[in-house]
Amino acid sequence: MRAEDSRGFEDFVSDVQPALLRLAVLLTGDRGHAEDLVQTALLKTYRHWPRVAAAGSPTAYVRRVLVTSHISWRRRLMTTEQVVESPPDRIDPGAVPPDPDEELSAALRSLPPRMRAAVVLRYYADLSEQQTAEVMGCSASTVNTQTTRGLARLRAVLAPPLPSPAAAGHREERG
Amino acid sequence: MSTETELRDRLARVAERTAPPADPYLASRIAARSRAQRRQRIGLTALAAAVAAVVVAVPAVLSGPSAGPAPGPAAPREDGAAVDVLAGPTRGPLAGDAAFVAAVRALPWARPGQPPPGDEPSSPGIPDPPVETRRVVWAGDVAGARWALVAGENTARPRGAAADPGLQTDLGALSATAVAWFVGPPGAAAEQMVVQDVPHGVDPTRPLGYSDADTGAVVVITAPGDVVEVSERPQIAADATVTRTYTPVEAPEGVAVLALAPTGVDLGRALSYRVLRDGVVLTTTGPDGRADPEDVVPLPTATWARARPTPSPADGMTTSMMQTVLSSTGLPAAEVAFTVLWSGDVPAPAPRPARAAVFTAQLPSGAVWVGTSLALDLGGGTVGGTECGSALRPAGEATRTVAAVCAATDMTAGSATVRSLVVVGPADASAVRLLDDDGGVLAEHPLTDGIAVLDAPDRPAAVETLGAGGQVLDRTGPLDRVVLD
Repeated sequence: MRAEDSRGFEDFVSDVQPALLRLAVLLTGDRGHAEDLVQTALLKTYRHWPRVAAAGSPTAYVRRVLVTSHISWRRRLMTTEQVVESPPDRIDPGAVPPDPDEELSAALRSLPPRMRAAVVLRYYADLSEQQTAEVMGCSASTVNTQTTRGLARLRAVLAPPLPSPAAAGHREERG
Repeated sequence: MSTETELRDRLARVAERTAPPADPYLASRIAARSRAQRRQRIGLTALAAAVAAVVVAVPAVLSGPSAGPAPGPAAPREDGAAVDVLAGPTRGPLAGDAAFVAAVRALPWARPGQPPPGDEPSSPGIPDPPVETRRVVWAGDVAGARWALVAGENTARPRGAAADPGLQTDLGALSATAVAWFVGPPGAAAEQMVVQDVPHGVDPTRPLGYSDADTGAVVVITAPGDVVEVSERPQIAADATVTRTYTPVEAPEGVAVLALAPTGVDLGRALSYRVLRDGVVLTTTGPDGRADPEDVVPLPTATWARARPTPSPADGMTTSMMQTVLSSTGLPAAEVAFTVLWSGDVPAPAPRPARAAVFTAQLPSGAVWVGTSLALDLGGGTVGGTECGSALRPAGEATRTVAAVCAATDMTAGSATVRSLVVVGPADASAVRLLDDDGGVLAEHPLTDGIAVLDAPDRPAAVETLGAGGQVLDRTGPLDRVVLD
């Protein structure tokens, strides 16, 4: 990599890193994995930086690499790693009132990776269905299906942030 | 407020609250990691070792830039004239033995127990080229063995969406060409030659190198007329600066055959070669290589600065990290003095804690390599681990304070990460002070025998160890990682 390319990459990382970390933490649900994912995506981008920069849309490129890397990781881990009980970060209901954002985080983590990516890209990154499809490498109709299903599964925690008796009862039923 | 609007707001809030802080050195870390990974190839021996020891690097997949000032070699020229270094008739002393060459060309690339081709486009298995696409690039005798390099069609290229170059971590994965090294005893007949290493796709315009730690044999193959220069190991001076000296070697027909002193430790880490074409450095890298896991490699012995903890199967990771110091520096065990400054348990999200260690390696120049290990006994004879960072320090600084952030997982998918700050200070230090980027005090904790293991969800910028009177004894940052180019 030439020196000017290297300087360009440094500036690019400086610009996009905070946004990538925010996207990654929503996709992974974990700060450490979010850091790893961002580093992986940027590493892959670095290896092709002259061509990526010349194409003129490096942010879109690295975001796509980040999302596809995440989906690929999850698929690979699910098919090759031993099955483990995933210990959800539960909040002891008797200790403190549930944090609605924490509940959303937990619900997000419970979604399958592609469904989670579709929801995050549509409603956090504000991408259109077509843009989301391009990032995820699938069709717009698939994005629509995944987003609809994801929203349905999240709807329970998208009740009013302050728990009402009815909402609390609903959470107890879920368990 | 609609459900979708609420979701947008809350996702933004969650992201803002939970995202990790940006790393100002990330670009340089990525550049260092990219350089290091270009030198890596996973051999069959490594695959076999992985069955017994799962090494998971999730929490520490990256760490800091090289701690010591290491003047790098000339930057590789990416825009040089591309030449297929594997093209042309067979080269080497055995090129004239038509029967041998033909028989080697037809040897199977698969080995018993080799993983079958995968079903997923992203993991199509190991290349096994049709015989009609193969050609013997080079065949000859090296120190203690007979080697041959065979190239053929890469039948293991990722397909479909997985063929996106942006998704590749192996630059050769998409290449139409794959290679395999075959090794046999001295004077071997073709049928005695066995495929070594993992056949893999390569960029045929980049030189190839292969080494054997047990015999010291090294072969570098490039285009005829190219100049090959070799640096056997980095020189680490007393002030911890790192340099390399490259010496030209003979490379008739574009092939350099070397016989180095065998070390038993993977040569690919310390050994570096560079290839020049028309006076321009085409590439600087290390060879692929093999080291027989059945061989008895002298294990480093260490002195202990503090009492040993209760023995754990995970302790073996510390020895492994010490061997990494030897293979990275190219130094024999007899020339490096290892001292374990501390070893003990640190919190992990598993049913049992992780075992961490901090050690120093005194190099012949007096410079000090500070190393760490973090390991988890997974049961059944399996130990997984990583490191918590490393650094090169000038001579005389072996007893300086060490601070290391250890990120422990249970080594399963989706594991939580528990970060601990391990501080190893002088025995007379009584406290440690954690500082932020502006020098502000984040916290102060007592030390016991100079040691503290602290919860560290956030990485401090620096630590200060304090004497009994509150005076600052030392100040240092958490370890990054030594990267020797």
